[in-house]
Amino acid sequence: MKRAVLVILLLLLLAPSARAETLRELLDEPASYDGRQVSFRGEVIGMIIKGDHAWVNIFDNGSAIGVWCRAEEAREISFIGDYTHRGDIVAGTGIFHLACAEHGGDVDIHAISLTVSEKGHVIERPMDVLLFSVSALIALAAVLLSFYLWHLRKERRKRVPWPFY
Amino acid sequence: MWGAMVLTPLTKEDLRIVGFNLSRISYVTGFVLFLPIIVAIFFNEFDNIPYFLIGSAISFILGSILYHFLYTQAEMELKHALVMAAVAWLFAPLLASIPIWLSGSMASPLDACFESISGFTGTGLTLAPDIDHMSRSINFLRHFLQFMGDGIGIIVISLSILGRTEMSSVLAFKGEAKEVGIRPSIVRTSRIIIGIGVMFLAIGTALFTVAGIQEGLDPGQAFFDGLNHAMTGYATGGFTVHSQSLLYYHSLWVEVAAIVIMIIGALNFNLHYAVLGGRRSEILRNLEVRVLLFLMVAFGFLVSSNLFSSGLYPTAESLFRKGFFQVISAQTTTGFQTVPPVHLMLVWPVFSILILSLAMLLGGSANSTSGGIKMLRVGVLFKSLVNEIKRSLLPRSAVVVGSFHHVEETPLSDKIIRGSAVIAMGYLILFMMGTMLTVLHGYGLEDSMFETASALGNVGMSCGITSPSMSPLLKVTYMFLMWAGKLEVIAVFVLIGFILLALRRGIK
Amino acid sequence: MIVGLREFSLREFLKKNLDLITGIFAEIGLTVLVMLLSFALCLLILIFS
Repeated sequence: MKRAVLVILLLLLLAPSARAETLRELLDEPASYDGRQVSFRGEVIGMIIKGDHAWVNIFDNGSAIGVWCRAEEAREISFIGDYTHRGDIVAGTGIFHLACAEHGGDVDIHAISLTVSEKGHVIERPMDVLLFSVSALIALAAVLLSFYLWHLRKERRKRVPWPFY
Repeated sequence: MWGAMVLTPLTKEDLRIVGFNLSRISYVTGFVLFLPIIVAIFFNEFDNIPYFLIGSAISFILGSILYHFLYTQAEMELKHALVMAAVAWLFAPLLASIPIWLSGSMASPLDACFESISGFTGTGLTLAPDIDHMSRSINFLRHFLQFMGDGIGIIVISLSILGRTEMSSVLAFKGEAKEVGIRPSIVRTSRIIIGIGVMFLAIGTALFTVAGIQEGLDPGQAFFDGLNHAMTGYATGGFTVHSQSLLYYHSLWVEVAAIVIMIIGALNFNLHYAVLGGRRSEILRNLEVRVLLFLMVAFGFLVSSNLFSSGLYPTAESLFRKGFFQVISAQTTTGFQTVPPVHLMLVWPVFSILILSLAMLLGGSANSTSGGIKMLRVGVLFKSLVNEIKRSLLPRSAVVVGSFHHVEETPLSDKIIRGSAVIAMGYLILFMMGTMLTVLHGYGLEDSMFETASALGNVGMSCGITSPSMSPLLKVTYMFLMWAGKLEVIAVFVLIGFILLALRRGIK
Repeated sequence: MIVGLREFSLREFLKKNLDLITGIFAEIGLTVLVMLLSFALCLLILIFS
């Protein structure tokens, strides 16, 4: 009896773990996944709450898909990815649609479950003070130079008149 | 016209005239690159400000060098104007690519140049690997370049701000492929074009903002995205704030707002001036509007039917939001997408891709922000075809003289037909070359035709070929196509002629 | 709109702006017409399939 249990445990441990289909795979092989249940994972880059549902746009390695989920699930999200934020990583399962009839033909995933698997964070983008000062000075100098040269020409034209049209 | 001219050898003065006038373009670009600093301050992106300052500084310094060492008051002739326009549309994007490259948003300097040219020419093909994490000020710059470069026109701006004597202004204007016709004074025409652009920008922003808020976006985001999309929608450019293009919003109303601004952007400036000045009947009598509407609806019907029969989109709403939307986006040469690029390549039926390619190549109205061969030429050529058929059927002695209505009744002269035919030929030659080069890189025929038409017609719709991993040769090819398409081919050939002349006869 | 320092006619001013506004509506109306037509065709495709 003990042996049987051990063998079963071993088999379970060695069994290949199901991995989420990457967003890229979903988009590149839409026919194989259309209408099927898939698991997804990606960084949140957009969230639009619409009543008791929400759109959560997720991004992973260059591809992005919109996930239609329940509003309560979406409200768990704390960070949306942009220049100064790394968005929450969400994962879940849902039905993938190549052309969702409910949503005007959009590519989407109707989530069965959606959870935040990794919280996002703020990305610090500190200003380089030296670079800022130097570039500001150069820009100012460049603009002044342009005005100065223009002024020079005006003065020269006054002294040596050129036929005007 | 060309045969009658004696090709005089190039002189140093010719180069001076072109070079000196480029200084103005340089200065204007310098000003343009200052503006995103306001956006950077607003969003606390202070780390980005140096990039714009440096880009601006280089523009002003180059402008000063050109202004000081090449100063001339010699009159510009047509050949100078065309060459200057051609060079300006490379020169300005090159300057604008500096902040884009410095920001680190692009994978290489070549990619930054590509993005900048795509911006200025109002194309919209993007090589940005991660738009969603791009800084708002750099993202704003991309959209702003489309509004400035294509929505208004860099030469138009330089004319209205810096002014110039009438003659050379007319010529520079012509070089940018805009017909003089709105007002006798070129500087006033420029100001009117800017006024119309700003007004529609405000309207477009309002439409997008309202649609966005209605869909659940927070007002700030709705406004920022709305302003940017109104800029690229009116300029029929096609850059978007997010990587999913308009699919990000999953919204019918955002797409409706987009359609409104796209079609308006694709209308002729002379038409805008007439209609907004009280001559509303012009809107339905104009040849271009008729051809444009007819093609949009006809192509839309063909594509939607094809999509429906392929089983892809079974509802009327999806046929409208995918079929008709993409056709309108293609015909107006905007490039907003509600279908992921890779799906155009892998999922959409070939017939629809071919129709879209045709729509992109034919383009929008002449004298508008649209690209392509342009409706006026298409209309002229079609009418002349009908006339030819009439001529063959009628007795020898009969005289067939057609006319067309474009702001006013114009006879269908041989000169007009010839002009249209030559430029259409130029487009087709470049189209074939682009398609063949793309096919050589291993892409399918209809996809190559699609992407080439998109670049040449300054559309920006992609079926997935355009990506950061694209070969450098293909990137350069598309940059050339975008540039040539924007200049309606002629200015590019004149520049090549200029260079060949210099090489053969030397510069005196 | 630029109003010069010549004689200012209120009538002209109002007419110009009215023209502008009705012009804008005409243009937007044109786009709405296109959209309605397109949607009608989509329904047609559905009905006649």
